[in-house]
Parts: sequence; C-alpha cells; structure tokens
Amino acid sequence: MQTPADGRNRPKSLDDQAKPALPDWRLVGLTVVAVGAAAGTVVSIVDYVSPSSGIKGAEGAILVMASTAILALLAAALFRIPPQRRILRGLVFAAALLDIIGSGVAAYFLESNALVALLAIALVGWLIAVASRRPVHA
Amino acid sequence: MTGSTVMNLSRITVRLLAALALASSLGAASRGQTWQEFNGDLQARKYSPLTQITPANVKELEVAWSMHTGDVSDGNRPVPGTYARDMPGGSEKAPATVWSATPLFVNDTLYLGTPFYRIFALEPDTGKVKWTFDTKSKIEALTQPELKNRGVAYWQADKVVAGQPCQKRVYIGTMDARLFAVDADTGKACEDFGDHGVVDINKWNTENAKWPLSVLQPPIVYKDMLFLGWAGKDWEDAQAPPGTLFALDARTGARRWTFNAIAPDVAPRTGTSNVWASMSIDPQRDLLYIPVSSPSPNFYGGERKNAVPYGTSITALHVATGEVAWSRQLVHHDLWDFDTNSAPTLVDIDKDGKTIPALVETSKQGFIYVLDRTIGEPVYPIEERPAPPSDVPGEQAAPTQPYVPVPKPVVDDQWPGVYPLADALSLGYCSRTAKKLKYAGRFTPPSLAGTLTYPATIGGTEWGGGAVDPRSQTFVVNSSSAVQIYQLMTRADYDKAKSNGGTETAGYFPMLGSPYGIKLTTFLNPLGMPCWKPPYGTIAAYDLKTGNQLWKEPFGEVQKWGFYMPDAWGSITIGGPVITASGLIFIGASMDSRVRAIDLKTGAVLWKALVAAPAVSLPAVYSYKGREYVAFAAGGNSILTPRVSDQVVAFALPR
Repeated sequence: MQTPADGRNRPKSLDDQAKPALPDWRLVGLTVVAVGAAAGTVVSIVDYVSPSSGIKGAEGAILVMASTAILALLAAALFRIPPQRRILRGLVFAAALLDIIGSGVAAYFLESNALVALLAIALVGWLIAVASRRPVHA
Repeated sequence: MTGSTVMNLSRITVRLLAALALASSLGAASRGQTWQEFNGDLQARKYSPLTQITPANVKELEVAWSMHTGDVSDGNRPVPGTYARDMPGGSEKAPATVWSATPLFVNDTLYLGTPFYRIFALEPDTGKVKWTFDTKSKIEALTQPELKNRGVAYWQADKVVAGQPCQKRVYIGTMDARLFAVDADTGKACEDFGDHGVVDINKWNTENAKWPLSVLQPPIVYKDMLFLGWAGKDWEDAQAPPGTLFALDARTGARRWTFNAIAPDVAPRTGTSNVWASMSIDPQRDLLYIPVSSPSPNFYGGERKNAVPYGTSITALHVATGEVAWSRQLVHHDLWDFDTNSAPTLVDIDKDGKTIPALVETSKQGFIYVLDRTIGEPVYPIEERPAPPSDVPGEQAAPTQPYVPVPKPVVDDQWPGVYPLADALSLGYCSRTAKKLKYAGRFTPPSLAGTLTYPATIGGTEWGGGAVDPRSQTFVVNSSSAVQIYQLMTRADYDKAKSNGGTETAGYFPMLGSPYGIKLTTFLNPLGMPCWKPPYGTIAAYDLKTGNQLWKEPFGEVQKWGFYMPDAWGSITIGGPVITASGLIFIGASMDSRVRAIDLKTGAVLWKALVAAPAVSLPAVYSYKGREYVAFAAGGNSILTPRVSDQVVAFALPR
C-alpha cells in the first residue's frame, strides 16, 4: 500500500512546477550515438553477407562491423560512467569520436552509403552529447 | 532479242537486284541482332548496330535475368559433384576458375562455355537452361595455373536440312586438348565430328610435347572451317611445343592445313609463338589474321637469336591454304613476353580522300598498330628506334624495336615514377627498390640485377583488344599501367631460391632448358600497394581517320580488402569493350566487379552495376523479341582479385 511518505507520489515543488520538462540532451546525444552505431553494425553484417553490397566477405566489412560494435559499447559505457569521473569520460568520448571518424572514412571507401549516413548521425549525436550541459542534479 | 524482251529482262533484273538488296539488308539486320562470334563478328569489331539502349535511357537499365552455372572454384575447397574425383593425387581441391567467355547469341539461344568445360544453352530472355553438355574433361590445371575458358564457337550449314542432326553446331575446347562438336538445338554430340564428336588436338602435338595443347579460346568459324590455336604452359620450358595453327573441317574435324610459326630447324631449340587469342577474318579477301605470341623461353633469347620471324607478329594467312599473305613483327627478338594477344579489328578508314582497308592491333607494349590489312604496311608510320642492349651473358637484344608514335600509345614511354604515398607508407621501400633496378626506357631487357619493366607483360592492352564504331571510325580501348620487375637468375641461383621456398606464387619460373630462370614480380610495396603513380587503368578513344586521341579517362576502381580507391586511380583491366550504334560503350574488365556504360563521345560513365565478380570478358549485345540485352559472364580472374563467380547476367531496359 502506498503511503503519503512514498516519494513517487510526492507533490511537485513550486520550483519543479515552474520549469518545463526539458529532455536531457546529453542522454539524447548518447542514445543517438548508440542507436547509430548498433544500426551500423547491422548494416555492416548485411554488407558482409550480401552479394549485392560489393564488399561481401571483405576484410573491410569485418573492420567496420567491429568498429561500429565497439562504438555502440563506448556509447553504452558513457551512459554508466558517472560524471564525476571526468578523465575517464573524456577519454571515452575521445575514443568514440575517433571510432566515428575512422568508421566513417572506412565506410566511405567501402562505398557503403547507408553506413556513412548512420555514422554521420552518430557524429551528430556525439556533438549533441558533448555540447549539452550536464543536468543540474548531476 | 526484241526491245520489249530487253525491257522485260531489265525490269526482272532490277526487281531481282532489289529483292537481293532487301534480302541482304534483312540478313544484315538479322545478323546485327545476334552476337555470333567471340568478338561479335568475324572482323572483331565488337560492334552492335542496336540502338534501343541509348545514352539518354541507359540509366534505366535493370537486371533482366541472372543465372549461375555452378561451374566455379576459388581454389580453396573441393568442388561438389564428380569433379573432385578427377584431381591428381587424390587432392580434393579444384584449381581456381578464370572465366572469360563471351556469350554467343545465335539460333535464338545464348551459348556459353564454362571453366569446367561444359556448354550451357540458355533462353535469351530468361536465362533458363535449354540444355547442357558435359565434356567430362579433367578438372585439372594441366597448362595454365587455373581452369580457364573463353567460351564456345558456332557454325551452321549453308543449307540447313530439317530433321538432320548437327546442321547447327556449338564447339568447345578443353584444357586437356580436345575439341567437341555438339548439336546446337539438342546438345547431343555430333557423331560425324572426329571420334564420335570429339577431336583430340594433342595427337598433333609431336615436337617438344611437354604439355597438352590446351584449347581455351574457341575457334573462329568461316566457310565450313574452324581455325584453332592453343595455349600452353607459360615460362616453364625453353623448349616447348612450336606454335601451330590448325584449320579443321567444321563437319568432320579433319585437318585441312597447319600453319607453323616456327621453322622446323629451329623448333627443337625453342617453342610456342602460338596463337592463344582470338582471330579475325576478312571475308572479302578470304584472309585470316592471327596474333602470334612470343617464342620460348620468354625472357631469354640466347638460343633463338633472329630465328623466329613470326614471333610476336600479326600475320595474315589465306584461309583456303594457310599460306602466308603477309606478316609484320611487332617486337623483334621478344624478351618481355609481349605476346600479340588479341584479334586485330578490321575496319575501313577514310583518310586523305581514300578508303583504306585497315586493321587495328592493340598490344601489351601499349602501341596501337594501324596497318593496311591487304599488305600489312602501316597506315600511320612505324619507326625503328634504337633499343637498350642486354648485359646478360649469352643474350643479344635487338638493336632496334618498332615504335608507333601515332595513334598515341595507351601507356607512356617512361614509367610513371614512384608514387609518394606508396613510398611513404612503406618507409621508402619503393624509391629504394627503384634505384637498384635497371631501367633505360621501353624495351629494357631483363637483367641479372633486376629490370624495371614498363610496359610489362600484364600491361598495355590485354586479350580483350579494342572495339570500333565503323561509322565514325572511332576506336576504343581499355589499358593497364603496370610496372613489373624482371630478374633473370643463373640456374644455380634459381635452384637455390627454389629450394629455399621460391614458388610460382612468389614469381619464380624455371624456363627449364635455358641457362636462366626468372623471378617476375609486380612492383608493389610490402603493403601490397603499387609503387608507381596512378592511374593504373584507363580507357581511351581514337579517331582512326586522323590517329588523334579523342579522350582518355581513368577506368574502373581498385578494390583492396573491400575498400575502393579513388576513381582517378583507375583499375588494371582484363577484358574488353563493345560499342553500340547508339553511341554507348559497354565494358566490365575492372577489378571492382562492376560493369559500365560509357558515352562514346565523351568517355563519361553513364551507368554502372555490380556483378558477382570482375567481368573479365567481352559482353554480348543482342536483341530478342524486340528487346535489347547486354549480357556479361562475370567469372573473375585471379590476376585481378581472388573473387570468382559463375554468374551470367543480362541487362535490359524496363518493359
């Protein structure tokens, strides 16, 4: 049974009520990176096995398969690394950027347009995540 | 004879002539819709009069049908079926396949040979199999390092007798030197041809018979005769089977005559100078034009000095007798394996107010020879220029070599130089190596120190040759810019290198019976990147009336590990172009497994599509039931990339 003391039913403060419910752009950005990277992995796998991709069975396809999977993991890690660990977060952000750029260049030379588009989206997500201010409660 | 009778006879004559003209034009139209020869027609023009697909609508091309023959091997695994049982020593791996077949469209059927030496007869509008014929040949690389096939040939009787078998025939050769004749309608062997449908070509292999006379290129068919060359084992032996060309009866397979490119007194010391590529025929003059390859051993000529005048030549033979009408040697005392490697293209050229019956011969050495095909004399001057000497003991290089300034050679006179990117990525390997090599321009002979060779045996234009638009007299040719290193090795050094693991894959070839072996490698850095500057492949158009180059563009894309390099680099190419009357060039040939349509006027790529492997073949352009098709065999070639396939794909405009 819920009680009045249950925080979930606590009435909003005047301060809370005065602010509109803004999205956490950092999380939005990271989500875009993660989704772009995961979709990139799927596209890479399809390219690797599809005769119509032009890169079926190619080492380059394996490379972008791995690099996009790693990018997805980096994005997931950024969700979990507390803001207080600034150096670690910075390093992972930098690694993610290098991954995006490297994978994007590789996708360009593999002439996989879908992959290039997804990595461009991931780059936008990364920029959003970096540019957004940390939430107040953090 | 009365006046009225004369009038009537005149009318009848005029009507007869009109009827003949109509029949002739209809016949021409009918032939125009077919693609009956390896090169499209006897003249090797690679030209189709079809106009349905145009520069304006070519972007709409789509796959009309695609099929797979099943006859493919990447060299790394057993081949399903019975073939693996034929492998020597119980090996379960079949050699890799190299498939360069031009599909033939004739008799309302598309005919193809495969590298497992089967014939496929397909419906031209669906790709469905009508019948197949299996030669049951050894699936073994007896001469060439891979299983190779460049297709089939077609013949039909002047008067086809209904109900009689083998009035129309398809021929296929095999690596184990047999030629099969098959009924074009049923796929049954023609019992009256040779021994129950097969002629053993190897029964005529009597001099230096170290390997079989592999029939990889289909014969050319004319006047109930088959003209047949063969391929051998490259760079293996100094003394090899001498180059012979056979004329066979198309019905019985009986030998009519033989042409020998090597004189009998010289034959025991050398060999080859064979005709392994396609040929062309001038029906007006009954002349057969044969591209004769270089003599053996390919890179050392100490035992064959000035002894093989037909070696590396273009030679015209009378079709009835095989007698030489004329011959022109394109490389003297060939030390570079500059085989004359494609059928000369026959075209009449309007020049200086005259119409010249000409032929155009492309070459590995990058020259385009334009000759009067009646006498073999050059239409544009050929100059004898001094050539670098050899410093190899026992060798004596030719003091001069024929040089063709016009039309402009497809590759430059000087090698392109070290590519800074390749050099930087290899920490200076390219420039260090280049400095050690001997190089004195074109025709620098092989040396013991190593010679930088440009153009080299895989450069210039390969066996696909060029295509011509006979109306505008525009000639189109694709070519490769490749630098190789030729290093002769004394027998002792060669044997030592072989015992230390030197393999053919690493570039070691014995030239047994000569004082030297050779190490032949492409000039790559340790990363596998070419050490020379791009472009590596181009396509160019020439106005044959003036000899001027109209345009030249990088062609194809290099693909390594799946990565496509910039367009400006182009690609090494194998295979050739065809031209349509609507002003399009269709070509596969590049290592990126794409086929392309190019604007004949500008060289711009108007359309491209991906196929299963590099289409190292000539496409066939044909029409059937009012629809124009462009069909490619996408088979691949390990020289370009390990990717191989068994795909036949036809493109057409949407219905």
